[in-house]
Amino acid sequence: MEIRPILLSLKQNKFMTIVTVLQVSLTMAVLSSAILTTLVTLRAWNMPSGIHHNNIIRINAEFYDDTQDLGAAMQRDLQRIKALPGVQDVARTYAVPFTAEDVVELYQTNEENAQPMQTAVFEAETSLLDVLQLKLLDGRRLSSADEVIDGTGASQGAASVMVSEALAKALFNEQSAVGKTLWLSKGGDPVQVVGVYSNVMTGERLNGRGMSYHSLIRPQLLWSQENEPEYLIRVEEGRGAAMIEELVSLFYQEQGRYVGASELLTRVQKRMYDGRGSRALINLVISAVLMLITAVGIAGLTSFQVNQRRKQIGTRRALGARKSDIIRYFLTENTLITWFGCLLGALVTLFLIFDLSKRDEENYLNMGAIGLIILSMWVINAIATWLPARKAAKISPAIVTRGN
Amino acid sequence: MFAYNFSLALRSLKERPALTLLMLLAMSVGLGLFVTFYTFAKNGSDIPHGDKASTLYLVQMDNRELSADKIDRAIDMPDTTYRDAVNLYNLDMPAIHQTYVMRTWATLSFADNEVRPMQTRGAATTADFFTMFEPPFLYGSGWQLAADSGDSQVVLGKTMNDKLFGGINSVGKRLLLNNKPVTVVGVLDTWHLSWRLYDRGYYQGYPHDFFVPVQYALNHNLTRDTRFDCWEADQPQSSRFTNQDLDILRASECGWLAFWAELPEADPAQYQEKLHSYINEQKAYGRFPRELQTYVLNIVEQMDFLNANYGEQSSVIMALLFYTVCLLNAIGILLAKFIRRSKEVSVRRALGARKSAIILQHTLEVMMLGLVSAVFGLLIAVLGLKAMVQIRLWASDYNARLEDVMPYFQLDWGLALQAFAISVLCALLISIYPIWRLCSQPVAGYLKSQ
Repeated sequence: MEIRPILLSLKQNKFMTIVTVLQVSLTMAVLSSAILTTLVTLRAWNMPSGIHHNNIIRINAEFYDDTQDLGAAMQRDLQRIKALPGVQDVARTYAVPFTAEDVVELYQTNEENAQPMQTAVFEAETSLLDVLQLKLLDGRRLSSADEVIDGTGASQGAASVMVSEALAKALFNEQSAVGKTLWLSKGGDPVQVVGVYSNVMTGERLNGRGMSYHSLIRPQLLWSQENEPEYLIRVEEGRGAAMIEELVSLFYQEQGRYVGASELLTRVQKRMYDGRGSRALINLVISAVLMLITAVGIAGLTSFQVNQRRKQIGTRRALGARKSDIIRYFLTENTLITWFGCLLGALVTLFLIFDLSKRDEENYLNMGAIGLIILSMWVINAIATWLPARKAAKISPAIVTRGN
Repeated sequence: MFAYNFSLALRSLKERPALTLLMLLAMSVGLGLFVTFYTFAKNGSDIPHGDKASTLYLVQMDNRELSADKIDRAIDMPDTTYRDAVNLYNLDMPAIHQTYVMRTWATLSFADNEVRPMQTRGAATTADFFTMFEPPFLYGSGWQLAADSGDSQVVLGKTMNDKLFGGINSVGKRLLLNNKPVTVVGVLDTWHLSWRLYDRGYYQGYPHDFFVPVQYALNHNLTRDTRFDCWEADQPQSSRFTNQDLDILRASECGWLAFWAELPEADPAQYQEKLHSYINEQKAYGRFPRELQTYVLNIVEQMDFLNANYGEQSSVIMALLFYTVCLLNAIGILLAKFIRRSKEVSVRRALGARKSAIILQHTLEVMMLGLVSAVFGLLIAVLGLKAMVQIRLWASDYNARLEDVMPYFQLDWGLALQAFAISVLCALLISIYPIWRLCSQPVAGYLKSQ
């Protein structure tokens, strides 16, 4: 394909060319910034949670009337909940998957220069393992003998813990974690690892640091009137949403109590990604509309040019050009414009993305995605050109013989 | 002649309707999106508290230790300590009113448990708060000055009154606040503030549901839901101050209250002078070890800073880019449409029509386009704003209430008129080059081959 005549014709239509290139490049810039930020959000969204979060209900109840006996009330809660048909397991806990933001630094030795490892700690009843249906991968399960449940403030913390698969690997690599000793703070009491369980999502903080599954279960509930544990309840498959209200009314059977959160863990998971998610959604919708408008605009312009150049096209056909040559002419012209526009757009994108990455401390840059976007812009614009160009190919060579 | 040109313009719009429609589509979608984001950004940057914004001053003083980091902006300043708040409040300062505000939350319920208890956010402050910030009252009023000593009185927000009392005049009625009886003295009407500054919370769309005297809040140990700016040595314990160790907190150098002064004729210099002499007196007790640094800024000044740093300009810029693309798109189509008409124009010119007539005809055509696309654009904006409300509620996980979020996404007549003007202006702008091209071609050029 001879490119020179196309360049010449573009030069003749300087204004139109510049307008189209600008349009393509701005579309490219908006589109790719939106897609790059969305990709990062989606990447986090696709992380497996490790639990059947659709069947697990979280309830956070609190006594505003401090004269009520919390210990007795919690026993009645457990009885009522277990008696409810459809409930399969219940656990009291101080941390909830997807919002376990209490990050602790733990150590493998008690020495001054020990290296810290970040993890989320689930202080909970051992039944948490049943509620979340975590699999035992190594060692033994925590038993009720390991459990420390006390509201007097007199007890020591639990001495045995289980760690998640990811944390075990980060700490001990190929070695078994079972039997190892850990310190949950510098100079604190040591705890013994008795088993390893399958991974479960912790929360945004660790997720953002690439340690989404670093967790540890310590079987203790050192509750007080000011520090009430939450409830996680697993119900029959598919009854999650239906049972929330039933459970809430159980909690309101106690006087002087307020139920704060009552939701499926699915909703907690959704909340984990909300801030970026909604922005990404808006950007994505805008870019889709923008791309459509650009494509339609290009189709319109090509159709106009086809009409403008009827005579030239006829002449070329008369001189022996095939139909495919005519179509190819328009496609090549559009390709030049699209690529040049995309190049400019990509530069603007890089500029925007570096700024965003610095602000959000997140690496949005993804050259593969930019390449794919350019490719799809090219394809869509090519289709937008091809449709009207087909008409051009149908122009009969005989048109030359007419007067105008 | 005008009528003739008008009918010509109309006819030319009708020919090649697909191109006209395409242009309309591009222009109205672009305008719609731009108006959507612009409305949101503008409503979010409105200056709260209306006429009083320029007379209400936030008082800030740097009471931190010598080793603390230097502060360059008012927003980074620590809050006011309890000691200074009480001292300044009781001092004869050159202010019309003074008040201080603490953020809190509590559970509201009834003794008979008929309505489920509700936990919600509120503010603890003094009687003058209502005189200074002028919240609109539906029933009753703020509490009397005497109640500042810690009376069990409460002012409810409209939403809370609707939920607890079904919206009736509840003044004089009693309810339980953290299980202790309080009496309603006033009910607010809807009080939309683009930014909630009075407690230095900087929230958008989360109004307080109740107000109690600050002394009541302290006596009954309501949660102090605030940040404590303590000296380095006290910082580790500061989280305890949320609901414990009130006496230590009162005596400490921890800042946690927002202190406000209403000043006459927007002149803070005199107040600041008095504030400086107060601080210098306090130095005698070993306080305020650092170089004198105070800010007395009114709400207008604070909003200027917030809008410049935390506004929604990036969305507006993006929407503007979007509109630009749509306009570029429209230029191309307009050019295509006009150039097709070269022959017709040449004939008209040859028959004696003046350049100005040609310009008039096409300007009219473009203005009509601008007007129609403004109508469609506004329609799109209304739908877009509705969608934005839903997204906002979804993003807040339905913790924000519809009635609190709505005001940020409300299109008003002023904005709608502006949109019309922008649309017509942009239409004229994009038509300059196509019309110029149309008029500047030689008359004879197209007549030759006829």
